[in-house]
Amino acid sequence: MFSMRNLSRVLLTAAFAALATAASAQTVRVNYIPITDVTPLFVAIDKGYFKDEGLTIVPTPSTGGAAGVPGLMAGAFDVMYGNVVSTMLAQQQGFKLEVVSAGTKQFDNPANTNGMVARKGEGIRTGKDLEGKTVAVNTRNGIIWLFARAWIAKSGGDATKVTFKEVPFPQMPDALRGKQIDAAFMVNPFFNASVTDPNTFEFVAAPYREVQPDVEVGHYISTQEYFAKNKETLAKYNRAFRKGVQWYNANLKDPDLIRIISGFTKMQPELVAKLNLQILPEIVNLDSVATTVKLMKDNGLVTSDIDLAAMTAPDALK
Amino acid sequence: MSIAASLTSGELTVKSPVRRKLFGDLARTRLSGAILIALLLLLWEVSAARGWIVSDNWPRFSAVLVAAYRGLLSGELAEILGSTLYRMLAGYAAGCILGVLFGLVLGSNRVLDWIIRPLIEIQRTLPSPAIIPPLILFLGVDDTLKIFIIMLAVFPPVFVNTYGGVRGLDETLLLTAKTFGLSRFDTLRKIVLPATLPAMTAGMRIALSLALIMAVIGEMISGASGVGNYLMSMQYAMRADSMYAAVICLAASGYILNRVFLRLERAALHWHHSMQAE
Amino acid sequence: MTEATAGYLSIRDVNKVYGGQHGEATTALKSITLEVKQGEFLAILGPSGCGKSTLLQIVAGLINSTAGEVVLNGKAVTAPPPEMVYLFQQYSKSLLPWRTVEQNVALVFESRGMKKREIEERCGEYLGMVGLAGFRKHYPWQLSGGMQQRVAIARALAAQPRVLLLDEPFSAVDALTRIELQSLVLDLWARQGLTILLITHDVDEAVFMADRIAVLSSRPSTVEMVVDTDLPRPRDAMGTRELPRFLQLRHELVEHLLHRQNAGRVDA
Repeated sequence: MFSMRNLSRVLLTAAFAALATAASAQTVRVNYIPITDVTPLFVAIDKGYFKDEGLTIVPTPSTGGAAGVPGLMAGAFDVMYGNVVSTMLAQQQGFKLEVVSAGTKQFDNPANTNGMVARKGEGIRTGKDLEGKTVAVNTRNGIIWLFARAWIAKSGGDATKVTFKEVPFPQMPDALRGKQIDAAFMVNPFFNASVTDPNTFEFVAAPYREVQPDVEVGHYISTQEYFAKNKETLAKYNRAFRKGVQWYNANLKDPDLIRIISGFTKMQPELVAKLNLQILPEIVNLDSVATTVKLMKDNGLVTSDIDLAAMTAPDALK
Repeated sequence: MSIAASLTSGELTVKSPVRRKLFGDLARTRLSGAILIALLLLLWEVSAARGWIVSDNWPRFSAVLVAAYRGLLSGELAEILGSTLYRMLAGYAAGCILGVLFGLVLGSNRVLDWIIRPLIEIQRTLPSPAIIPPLILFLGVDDTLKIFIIMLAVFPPVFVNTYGGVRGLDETLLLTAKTFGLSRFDTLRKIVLPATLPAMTAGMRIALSLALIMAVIGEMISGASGVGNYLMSMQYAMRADSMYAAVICLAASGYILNRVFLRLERAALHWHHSMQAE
Repeated sequence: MTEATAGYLSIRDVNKVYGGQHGEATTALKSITLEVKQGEFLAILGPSGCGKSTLLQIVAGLINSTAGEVVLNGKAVTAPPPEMVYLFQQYSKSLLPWRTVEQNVALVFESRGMKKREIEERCGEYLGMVGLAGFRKHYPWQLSGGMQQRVAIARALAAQPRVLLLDEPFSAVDALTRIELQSLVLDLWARQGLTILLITHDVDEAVFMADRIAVLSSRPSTVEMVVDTDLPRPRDAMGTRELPRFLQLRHELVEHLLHRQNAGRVDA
């Protein structure tokens, strides 16, 4: 029999359930590439900063890169880490994206974490030396490719006379050793592994730093739709994430950091300890992004202007 | 089997009876295949240990074995393989069912054949990686997508073989069904299905390895689980030994799956094999 | 040369034309008319490629004629009638290789809602009739050609037909087996009170087995003549073949066929 008392009990239970979901359903699915650049995300998870804000983070790695923006648009995840060039290219193509927080920035740091590497003793020092040669980049029309070209031009070479070959980062040292390429723009841990093998390889230059000091390489982005509908959640997300960045920047040598990095990159702790971890930014600098967009324009990657302020969350700027 | 067969036929040209016996005996056992594999693995070990091949991506085979042992002991590899095999089998089952269904229907119905087959022929020629980006927009990047692309890879060989089997069915069989007044359903169940089963399973056998390959490719796109994802992350983590450990486990699973398949096929088609042996 | 007016099975003015529309039309059968009495054994004799099988399949309701009709017991045949069973020349393709001998016979019982035990009993009964009681669990391809055709015969009988259509059923077996099978079929025909239409190009077989023989011409096939064999029954594999009437009839028919064939050669 369905009495009033039963009804009220049902209603109460439903109300509690709704409240409980409202409190705990703030799940943010974050897509990332398993590189040290995204460490603050895992610091914030590990230290419970997201939990303190009532957020649950579901991190999904994407190593192949094919998922990326299509996955974001399809709603497979809410936030993703992406490099500035891919983001701007997608924006130009009509995907409505929002930069929600800062990611990676190449601060002027004497210890390099990436750069152009060549075989030892072949005398490659400048972009001029690379004319008629082959340079490996991870993807054509990506940020690595863009800065490789810009650096070649800046150091006196003609990028149109250089052949660019797409080689995945893990295969770059082998390709260089096997003489399929003459130089490669590498990132860690492959960069570190190569430059610490002085009998085989040598460091040529740090294109990011030399082309555009303090360049912002990567950001966290969402769709504009998700951003508009989840401002509160993203504000919480940003607070927690920023705490992660701060902890990370203050504890670059902490063994606990090595444990965290080893955890999500699957690198052995001994390998992590050898990497020169660099400081990461708390906020997005639009002037820096604008400089990169101009560089993209110069290299024919974008044709029209992009309203950067309109596509960047205010929280990411302050 | 084919190696053994070619070696035994090669016997005829070997003059010395001693050598003939040695080669013949060796060829008749499974051992010969195992010896070849062992030799290649030994070459791997030596080439890495002696520095013939220098690369972070070329660990010693012994290091791979250690990584495999650790991975199996901790249960990590089992979990990874499990999630890959789960998706693979789901996609495989879906692809097989659809392939058989479409093969039977289009093979026996001219009108539907004219309407639907051009679409299937086009799908067949599309390389799976080419259709992944648009699929992501509709299916996301989770299991649905991965299972779907496995299904897409499994469908064509199963369909083509089933379709061919139905088309190549001897007319006498169908007339036999007719003269005994079998219903359409009984004709399908008791005549067409068993008669095309050898063709179907031939397609399914080809599709089995395709399914495993596509399962791994799908996992390389995104996601936190499975062998494909593990291979990628181990590369980026510079842990080639663990990567090869997963590759070896994958190869072993593929081998076992194939053997299980052959067993099941033999059981279901014992009449077919014995008939051909007669 | 008698012709029954009100037959049990009537083939009336049947024509079959292949092709047309796009390609050149071939007339396989032209105005075939035959009357078969109940319980009669009629042989249709003709050279290979004359469309004998086509005619028999039309009678069986397996394929449609272009014109004309087949009437069985007063009803026009448009689909295979349950009281008529077709026995194929290619027994190896007609038997189901994935089923045992017994299961092949069981095919005709399965859709009749019979119990498993009953099906087994009936299968045993029919396999016994053809002398294969000991081969129930064998697969067809484990048996000789003659034994396979026996399985097909058992299966055909199991369907309890009134009319049996035999499409050159003994052409693929060796001579001795053929003689054995001919006697077996004659025996079963007599015991079961069947009506049989036999297609053959073997004059000896036609004369030995049939009551009447219809001779078909080559394409486009027409009925050239119908002869009564007038041989006593039961027929004996050896004795019947030594009767003067047998020898005379065989002589006439072979002469007729040879003459026609030679005439054809001269024409061409």
